[in-house]
Amino acid sequence: MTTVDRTSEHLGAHAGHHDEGSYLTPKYGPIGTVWDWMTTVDHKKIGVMYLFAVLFMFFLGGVAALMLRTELLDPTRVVDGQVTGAALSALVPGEVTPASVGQLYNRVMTMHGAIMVFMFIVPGIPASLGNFFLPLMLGAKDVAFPRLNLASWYIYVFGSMFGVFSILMGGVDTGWTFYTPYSTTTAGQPQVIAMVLAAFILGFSSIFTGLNFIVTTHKLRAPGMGWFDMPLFIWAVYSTSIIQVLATPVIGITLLLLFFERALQIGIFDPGLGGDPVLFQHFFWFYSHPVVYVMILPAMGIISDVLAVHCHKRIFGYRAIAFSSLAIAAISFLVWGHHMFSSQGELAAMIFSFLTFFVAIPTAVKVFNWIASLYKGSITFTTPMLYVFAFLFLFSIGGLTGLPLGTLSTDLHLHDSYFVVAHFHYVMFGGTVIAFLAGIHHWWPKMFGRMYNERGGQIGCLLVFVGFNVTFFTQFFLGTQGMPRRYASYVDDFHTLHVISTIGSYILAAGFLVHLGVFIHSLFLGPKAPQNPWGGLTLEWETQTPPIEHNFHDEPVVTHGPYDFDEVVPPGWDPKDYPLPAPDPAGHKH
Amino acid sequence: MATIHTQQPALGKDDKSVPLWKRYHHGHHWRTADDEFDAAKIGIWLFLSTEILLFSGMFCAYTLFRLLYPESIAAGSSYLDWRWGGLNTVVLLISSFTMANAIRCVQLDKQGWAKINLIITWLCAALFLAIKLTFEYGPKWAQGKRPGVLFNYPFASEAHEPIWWGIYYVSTGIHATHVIGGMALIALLIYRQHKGAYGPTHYTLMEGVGLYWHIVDLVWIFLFPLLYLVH
Amino acid sequence: MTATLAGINDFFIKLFFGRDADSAVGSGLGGSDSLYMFIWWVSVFFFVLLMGIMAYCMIKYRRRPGVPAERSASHNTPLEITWSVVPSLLLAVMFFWGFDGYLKAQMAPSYAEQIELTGAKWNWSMTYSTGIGASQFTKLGSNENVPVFYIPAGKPVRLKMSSKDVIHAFWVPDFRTKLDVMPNRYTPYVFTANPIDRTGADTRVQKMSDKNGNEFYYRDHTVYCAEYCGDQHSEMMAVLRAVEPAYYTTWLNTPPYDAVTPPIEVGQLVWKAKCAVCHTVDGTASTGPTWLNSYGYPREFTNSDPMTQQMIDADPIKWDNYIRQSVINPGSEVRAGFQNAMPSFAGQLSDVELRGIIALIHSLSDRDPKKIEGFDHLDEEAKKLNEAEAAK
Repeated sequence: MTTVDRTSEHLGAHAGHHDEGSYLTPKYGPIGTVWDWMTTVDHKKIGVMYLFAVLFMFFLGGVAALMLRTELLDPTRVVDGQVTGAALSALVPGEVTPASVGQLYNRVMTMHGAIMVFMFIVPGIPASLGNFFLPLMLGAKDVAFPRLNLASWYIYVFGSMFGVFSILMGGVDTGWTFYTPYSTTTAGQPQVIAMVLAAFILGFSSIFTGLNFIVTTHKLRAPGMGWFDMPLFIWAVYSTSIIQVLATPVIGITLLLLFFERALQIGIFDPGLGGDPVLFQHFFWFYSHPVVYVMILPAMGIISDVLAVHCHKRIFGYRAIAFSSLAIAAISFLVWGHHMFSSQGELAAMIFSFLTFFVAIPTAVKVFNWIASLYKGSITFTTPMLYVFAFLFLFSIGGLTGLPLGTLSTDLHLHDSYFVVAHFHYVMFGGTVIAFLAGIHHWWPKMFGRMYNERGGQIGCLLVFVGFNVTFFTQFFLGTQGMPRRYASYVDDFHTLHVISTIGSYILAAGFLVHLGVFIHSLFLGPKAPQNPWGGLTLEWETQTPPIEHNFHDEPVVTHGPYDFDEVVPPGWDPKDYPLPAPDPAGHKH
Repeated sequence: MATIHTQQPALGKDDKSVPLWKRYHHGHHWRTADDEFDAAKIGIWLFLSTEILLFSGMFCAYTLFRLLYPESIAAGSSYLDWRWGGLNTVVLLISSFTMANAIRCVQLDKQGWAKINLIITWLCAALFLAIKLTFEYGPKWAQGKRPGVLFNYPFASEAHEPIWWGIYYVSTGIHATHVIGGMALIALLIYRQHKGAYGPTHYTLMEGVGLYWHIVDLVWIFLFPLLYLVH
Repeated sequence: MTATLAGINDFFIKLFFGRDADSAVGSGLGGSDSLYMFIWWVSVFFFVLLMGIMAYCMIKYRRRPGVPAERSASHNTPLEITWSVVPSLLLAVMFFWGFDGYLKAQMAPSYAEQIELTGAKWNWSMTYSTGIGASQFTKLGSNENVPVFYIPAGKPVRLKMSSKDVIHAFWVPDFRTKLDVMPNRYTPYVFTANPIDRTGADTRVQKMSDKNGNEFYYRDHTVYCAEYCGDQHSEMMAVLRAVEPAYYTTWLNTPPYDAVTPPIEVGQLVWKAKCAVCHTVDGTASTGPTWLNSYGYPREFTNSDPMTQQMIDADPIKWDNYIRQSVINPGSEVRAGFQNAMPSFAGQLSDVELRGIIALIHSLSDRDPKKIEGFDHLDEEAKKLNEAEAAK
């Protein structure tokens, strides 16, 4: 790592005497400001717009999830000709029958999955926090292609509108996986086509964002920043971008073929016409497996950075974490078949099971490194750090429960059961969403120039952690005991566990409401944030809070590694508040 | 990456007598024009890799159905006339050559030749589509050789010919869409080149469109033997 | 000590699975349950270790004002190699053990009992070697017509599975294995249910007698559809009734109906096995039209000309033909207000069964086809004959 001494005149160069407004300062009247935001090529504004958009989608998907859990509070039964346990049915007119309950449940289930996957979690961290902080952390003025970035945002909006339009037209009941031949034969032609097109269009947004980030990382690093001086968040986003660019075109062609299958019955996927439904599954998972790493890798990057800053501690095994991101990205392209253990031949199953275990190793290595990074740290219990602990707890469970799913004989039982649902949510929610929350809290002061209420954040975190575990830990047992996924109703044996899970989901929702309150409070009443509230060493903390329009007054020069907490007083901090440890007696630097 | 020396021009930005390309100044977030040019090239190569992957899905589907229904694919293939496909291949190869030539001319500041080459490229693209429509899509569609549910060819000899037509129309259709996109981009280049936007120190967009056009050509080079020649 | 550990292990097996596996694949040393427990204990070890270290650090290294973080190594290659390699070895064990179990779950000896299983939206049906299918039905969840399939306990069984429409998956949680049911090929589901224990040690083994008075012991296993298949995916269940092989043979050779069974009775059995999931007989709404008071009424279609009252009046077997057509080619005339959701039953119903269905639908209607004009005297004569018959 570079450990050139910081030149004092460089620090002094932007010590306050430029009093330029932040990127948030309106330069025009109200209409002008709106127009300014709508046509901005500033990565920070685009990042903020993405942040609000994906959080809105998270809200929509979350409401759908609560509807599902409420529906599952009671199993559907016909008692004296009356259907009971059909909570959702109050929302739609028409006669209530077990079939109509299933129909409605399946639409809400698809809405939850499609929104959460395509509109929230895939664009989620890279497009919002990545957009905002990738150039800042690299010391760049903007991403490589700012106009492409804006285009990518509008494509996202356009694609999401198709999705929402499809829901308003009555919804889709294919599940987010669009398995053929169900998706080519189910009712609701226009909605299914609209939803498929939505996912197709959103793919372009994903490709353009990824492409932009790769080029930015290659060409716009600040002087002095070598590849191994980059913050680990950048490594993670970089690896993510590679997957986005290489995997998304495959779902593009898949969805296009599905579109033609649906519109013209060309017969590629429909067995009734001579097609092969398993081909669709191969195509679909060739994208959708790597894409779960699009969801989780940026989260891992956030964890690395937040953990280091809130412990004032060098990340243990920097290179191992950086390379494991790349390794995960590479291996992720070879394991798609483990989603199809129940629909493919023995040889393919063996190969895919074998390869799947290879993903486990770099993932485990990361967790070990994070835990080791805590050793001899100076650990705070701020909300972002609490979320890091929550992440380590939940993601470990998520990772470990992946083992019986990757193992062939146990997977035959657990496949397509609630065990998979629980595992997936432990990784995606316990991993990605929890890390996203850590990141939002960590960077909130930098983005909006105001502190959030720490106590409020901690309470929210606790509720989310407890609620999440109550909701999803029960689902492991539902799965092993035999509850299949995507069921609108169930046999009586599963009632108790479903009730507990639903109660958990309400606690979880309460946690999010607390966070929402904390954020709104902060935006309007929060105290002004200092330049570097946590004492971070990466470049985003060197500029003012919130950053100016062109990020830095002068081009930053990187003179130390991103995690050299042993050597450097964080920018904006008084050395009195930040005692450095005694110099290494041996005199060598790590 | 960049091999062409792209030094910044020292001339005034608003001097109308100076050609546009000499007045070009790189984006404010770039340190040098070289960096900007390199970045654009990395970007376009990444984008082209996505294009290859997009078509590779079609190639996979083709391979699978060739294995599943060899007779139907062979029968479908036999309906295609390799001479029209071959002519189109030649047309595209010529257009690729003139595209490369146009860039070379711009690098040497031979603006007149560059314009002629660009126009030939555009005309070749148009010719490709014209041949495709009048001699391939048109008659086949009229005879009922259509994809999926629209298939209405009374003399079909194999059961899965509708699938063959599905693969044929979707893959060549996506390719043709790319040709149309390419034509729009080349038209933009012709306009911008006419205005004097490109010269030895600045031709980023031409380079990008040129690479794109070569990939469109390359995809056809793969599609042509698969669809027309292999029976 | 070992007894205590075994007890703890058993406790967790019960907690996870509710009960022991009922098949050769799942149970026993080396079965998938013991592999699952192996993975569980490995996971518990690592989870407790990691969380223990994390908790220790949280307390020991919490921030104290004025105290800097201690200097520590930026990496430690031997340590990092160790924690990459040791878990890899454990993963290798899991892989080979799992692959071995997977192969066992795929293979059946040549003498295995073969039964054909068909999945359709949204019910399962089986065809046994003697040509019979399910003749008993039970209630599970909100589905009152869940078919009961008899299987020989302790004997290897291979189901040859196929789907009539979309992809389904056949899952018996008690057997710890599942497989997709595909529309374009057969897939095998292989299992050997545990033998029936008559001693009473297994509380799930029960005794009952059939309609011929034969007593037999049995154990029921629930079947679910595990691959999402639409509106009534969660109602797509079945019961596998494991019985002793001797009784299984008896059952197999007792057809539930034959050519002399009254058609309405046949119709009722066929309705429960194949139609009840979409068509009600009591007038309530469902995926397909109800059968109550339908026979003899005019019908509108979304994709063809309506069947008018005149047409029905002119042709007394118009409705019989309409039912036949709907069973064999349901998409040709789709009733207005309904989706084209029904798969074709061509070749899957015998003449006796089709006759039964028509008789059942006919019997559920309050309307007969209008008498043909000019032949009223025949009715009169028939009435007289009937009265004379009754008087005897």
